[in-house]
Amino acid sequence: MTSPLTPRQRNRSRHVLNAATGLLTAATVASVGIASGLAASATKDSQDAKRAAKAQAAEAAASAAAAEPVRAQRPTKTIVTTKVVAGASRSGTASVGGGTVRSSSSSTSTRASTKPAVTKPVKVVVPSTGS
Amino acid sequence: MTTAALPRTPEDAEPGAAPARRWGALGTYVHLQTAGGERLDEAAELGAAVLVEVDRTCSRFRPDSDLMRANARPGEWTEVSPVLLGAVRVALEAAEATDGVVDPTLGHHLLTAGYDRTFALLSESSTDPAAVPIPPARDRWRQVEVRQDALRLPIGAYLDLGATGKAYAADLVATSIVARLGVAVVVSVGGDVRAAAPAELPPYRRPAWPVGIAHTAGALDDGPDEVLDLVEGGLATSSTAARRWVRGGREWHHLIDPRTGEPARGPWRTVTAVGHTAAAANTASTAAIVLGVQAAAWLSAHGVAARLVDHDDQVTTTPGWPGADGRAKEETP
Repeated sequence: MTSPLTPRQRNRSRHVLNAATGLLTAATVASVGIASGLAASATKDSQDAKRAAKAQAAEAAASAAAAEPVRAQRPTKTIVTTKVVAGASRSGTASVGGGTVRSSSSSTSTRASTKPAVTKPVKVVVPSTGS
Repeated sequence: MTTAALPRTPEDAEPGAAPARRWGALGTYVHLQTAGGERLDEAAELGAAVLVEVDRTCSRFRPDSDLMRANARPGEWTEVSPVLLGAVRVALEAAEATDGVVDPTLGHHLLTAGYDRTFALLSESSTDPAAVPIPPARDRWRQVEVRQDALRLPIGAYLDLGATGKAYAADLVATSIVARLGVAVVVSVGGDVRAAAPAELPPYRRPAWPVGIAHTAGALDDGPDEVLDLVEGGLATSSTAARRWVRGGREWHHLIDPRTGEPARGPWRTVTAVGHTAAAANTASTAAIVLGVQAAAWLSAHGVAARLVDHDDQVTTTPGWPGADGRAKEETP
């Protein structure tokens, strides 16, 4: 049977326990700090690497863009042929002058009407254009 | 970007009028008729497809358009569609024909004035500030380079084909229909009108298309100011009465004077001109608005038949306009 601790012995034990707990807490805090620091460092490294990769990609894209014209996705079917475009934009297309108008044949025209011959008014139909 | 001359719609016309097709494209209306209604459905389908291609390549409001790709790369060659190259050639020719009065490189000025989206989406009255316009570099359009499959813009230039783009589209639709379907046709793209017929059709068999003229497309609902028969070529109306907006406490419109960088402030509200193509007609009508007091003399000197309406509704016509007596004259409404 052990004899009960004296008050002085109890105090000494409590001090030892407190000291040990303090040391343990400090060690834990330190280790968490170290771990956090390592993690932050790893994140920073990763961000730096990403930034560098992005910069490299942008630089590569810029130099590629400078090297050759941007290629466009073309529709598989061209509605307007090059020949028609050439006809509509040939030299002289926008040079002013020309054309023929006259007073409306419905009022003062002297020329025989060549208005399209049709029979009756029709309802306007609106085709879909996608715009 | 101009409006107002258009073939009368069937509802406006007397019984017996031609059947027509009408739809929306390029931020405006399209009106199409063929002689006697022949192959009209096919013509409308083809015309709509052509305009989709024009929109895809030439629009300033589509970031993926060929035009915007070229605008994003000044100083560099950009491969673009032949459709855009044609539009740019026409725009540069319009600049040449008007000594730079119709300048396609003023896109920055329209942007700073707030015209940064299709007009249907533009707020008519915004309190957002507008940048103070500065006179653009004169003759920058001369530095735009075009080769067989690519385009290169000078540094600082920003192409906007609004002045001649719709007229070119009307020419393209009309010539496509004639080439593909072999029928006489008239098409109006936002008031830029083009009549065309197969070359083999003798002149006496070519239709004369009645065209109503007003300040804006909406005004046509109240009846046109005048009706003409367009026999051949193009007819276009440019007006400061349409496409107006308020920004930064100032009123703006889309016709920029390249000499000042600001909207044209001349005496003319609406000018209608005739040309051998819609692009030629539009070049003349746009130049007249910008030239202001010099317009009637300039039009007469260049042999352009035109009708000019000032802000007080006074009408002036040049020789060649039906009813004009061989010299520019004024009419009182």
